Amino acid sequence: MRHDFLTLDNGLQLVGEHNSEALSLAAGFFCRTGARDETPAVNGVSHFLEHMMFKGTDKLTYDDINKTFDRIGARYNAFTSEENTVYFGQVIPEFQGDIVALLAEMMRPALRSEDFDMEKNVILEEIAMYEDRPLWVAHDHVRKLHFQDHTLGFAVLGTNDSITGLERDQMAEYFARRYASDNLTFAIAGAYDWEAVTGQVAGLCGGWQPSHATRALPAVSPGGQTTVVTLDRFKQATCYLMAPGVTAQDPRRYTANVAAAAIGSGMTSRLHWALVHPGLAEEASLYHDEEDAAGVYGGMFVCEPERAQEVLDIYRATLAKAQAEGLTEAEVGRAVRRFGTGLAFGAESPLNRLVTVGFDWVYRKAITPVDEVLAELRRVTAADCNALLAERPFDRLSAVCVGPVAELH
Amino acid sequence: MSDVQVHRLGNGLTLLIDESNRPTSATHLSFPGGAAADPAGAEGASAVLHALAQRGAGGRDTKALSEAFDGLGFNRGGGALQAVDLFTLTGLAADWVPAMELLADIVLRPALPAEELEPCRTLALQELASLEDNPGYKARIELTRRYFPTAYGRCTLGSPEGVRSLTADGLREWWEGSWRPDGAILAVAGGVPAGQVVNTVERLFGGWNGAGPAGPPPSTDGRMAYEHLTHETEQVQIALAYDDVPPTDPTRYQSSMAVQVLSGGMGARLFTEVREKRGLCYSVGAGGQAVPGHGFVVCSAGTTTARSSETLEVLVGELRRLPGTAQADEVERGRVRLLSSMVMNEESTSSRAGRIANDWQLLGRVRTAAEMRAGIEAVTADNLNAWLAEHPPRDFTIVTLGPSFQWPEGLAL
Repeated sequence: MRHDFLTLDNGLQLVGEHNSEALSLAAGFFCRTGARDETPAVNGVSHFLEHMMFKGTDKLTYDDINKTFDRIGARYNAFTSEENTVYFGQVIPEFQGDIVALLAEMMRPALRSEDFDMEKNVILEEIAMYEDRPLWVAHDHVRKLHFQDHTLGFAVLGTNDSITGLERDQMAEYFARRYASDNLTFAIAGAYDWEAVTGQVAGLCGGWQPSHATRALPAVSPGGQTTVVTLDRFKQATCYLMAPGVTAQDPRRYTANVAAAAIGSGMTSRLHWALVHPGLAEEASLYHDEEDAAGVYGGMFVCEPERAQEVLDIYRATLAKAQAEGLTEAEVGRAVRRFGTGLAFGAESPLNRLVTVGFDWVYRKAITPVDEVLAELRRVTAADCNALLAERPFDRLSAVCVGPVAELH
Repeated sequence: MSDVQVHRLGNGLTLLIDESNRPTSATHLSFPGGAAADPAGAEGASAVLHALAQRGAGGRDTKALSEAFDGLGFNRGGGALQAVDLFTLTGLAADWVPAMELLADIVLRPALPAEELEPCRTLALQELASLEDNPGYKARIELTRRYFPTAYGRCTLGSPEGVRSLTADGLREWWEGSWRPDGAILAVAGGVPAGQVVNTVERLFGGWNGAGPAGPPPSTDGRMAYEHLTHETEQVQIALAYDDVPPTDPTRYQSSMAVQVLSGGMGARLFTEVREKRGLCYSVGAGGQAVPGHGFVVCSAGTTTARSSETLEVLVGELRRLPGTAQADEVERGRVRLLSSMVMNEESTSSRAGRIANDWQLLGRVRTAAEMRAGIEAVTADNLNAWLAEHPPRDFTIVTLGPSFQWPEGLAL
């Protein structure tokens, strides 16, 4: 495994993780922008723009882009989150030049009005699709509740109103600011040729202009309330919970991930034993997720609506007990082992490594190899977890329950 | 692609080994059974038996068993599928032997404690209830039920009535009679030395014997053409199925290519016509499916009521336009996509175990990479069009699920 780095004069950063055993490579552009970088008036623009990037450039139509991806046998897609928009493709090595050229070309879209109007329908359909998914509805609501007026609580898809009202020129203005060379990272993983890729990216992207785009990083003031979204069309009660965690820049993120997993991931976790094993909840879990100068513990459960209060009480009590009494060395050891297996399997896929390597760079300007991540995880002790839990993150737990439930407290 | 070793045990179990120089291992154990074989009136027996079998085995209680798997860093998966029971294990190759010992305990020596049945039953009923909150999944289940009108088309989770009827004694009897090795496939991929795999499997599973009951074959005789199911949702789900050649048919590569032309990527016909040109929906696609003795294609789309009628019209129109119209550039894109996909699947230990198990189940042998390549390379626009003339998409089974659906004017099935 070898790591490669280069920064172009215009601020575009290139990073790579070479794996000589890989049979393919994955390449992508990581734009440091997402829902948190929006204003209420343009909420959803980051994600809508992600769709528009596939709609063509001055030289290419959407059909040219789609057919080029298909012609080189790529596995490709894009995703938008609260703080990142990522475009990627995985190909066999003979198509390295094609995938890099296509992705680079796509990063300078035409944003044609007729495409914008047509794609708006697709975005509204996507919003409707997620309205049929209770966990997604609960997720969007709990972020609002947890982050309150912070932009990290903005919905990634936007709303029917914000998307309907969005205009093409607002998107173009947002694009110019956020897709500047110094707000983008190009990453590549697998069996690639670094010399060829750097030459090509410098040639294709060297003329892009920087914008000195910034991101506001105000402190989060966690909400900590519980609400219900009564929707009788759903059959089960689906609850999403959120509490303050550690940031993407905090070295304790390994500890937070292990602690969350010991409490709520897998069949030996505390939440599984308290809720799933006795049949009270169909699912019950907890994870930790790092964000830019923020972080959350996120959790969920699904249960019969008449049991929602009972399950919520047990869920809360399980977290309270963990932060009051701590975790055992055996629980922590099991959680670390599970992460180790996940890392070994993840390392087999250049696409998986691309996303990890890209985010490593975007958040920390450093790539942590798989072996080092594993070593960091193995260094985590119960005492580390318990010191973190002693800060009582779950005292400020926000919870939103979606389904045929009238009230919860 | 490495050579796959095949070993037949005297009890009817076939062991497939794809050894590679990896730290990981992936294991698939399957045997005939699944939801199709559930006794009438006890639909869900196989699904609940899987859950109950995880609750203690080989002298360990549930907690000890879970801790043993976690201590090895192994993940368990699987469950009752349409016509097979499946167990999967993923973990580091170095710990494969003790993990397999635990799996053998679950399959051969489950405790099946009577007091654990109620929570398993409650969870199974909750899973069935949750189907109502997952309209895309529900539409596919309702489609399968109508496309395969016999017990073969059952929901793998069972039915609420069936799950309520289960007893601990009945499940023990079901386990004794149905979890049997005749026709079983055990596929192991990754870094476990082949010799160690053979010795371990013979030691752990050599004494297992007998044959379990099989459900009906996957017949689609008497399938219905169309049904709308009223469901309170934002979107209408459209699910459609039609017959394809069986997996053993030598023209199976033509049928794979036909699906590529339809839905092989964002440049393929369905995405282009339904989403890109008309903005009718977010998701639309088609996929080739195969079960022993039968192949079929499933298409799906989700769209709001106002756009749903046109979506189905365009979807069916594209299926009917296929014969005689496949172009050389479409076949060329499909060819590269299929070949590239083979290479990328090779990178994943789990995909490799799944692929060899699937080949054995469908074909009774494991194809070599060279054979697969040659099959893909041999498809041309001409021979694909000739094949499509003989196998046009037709006799559709369609389910729509949503608040309401207006059948497209002039669309005849």
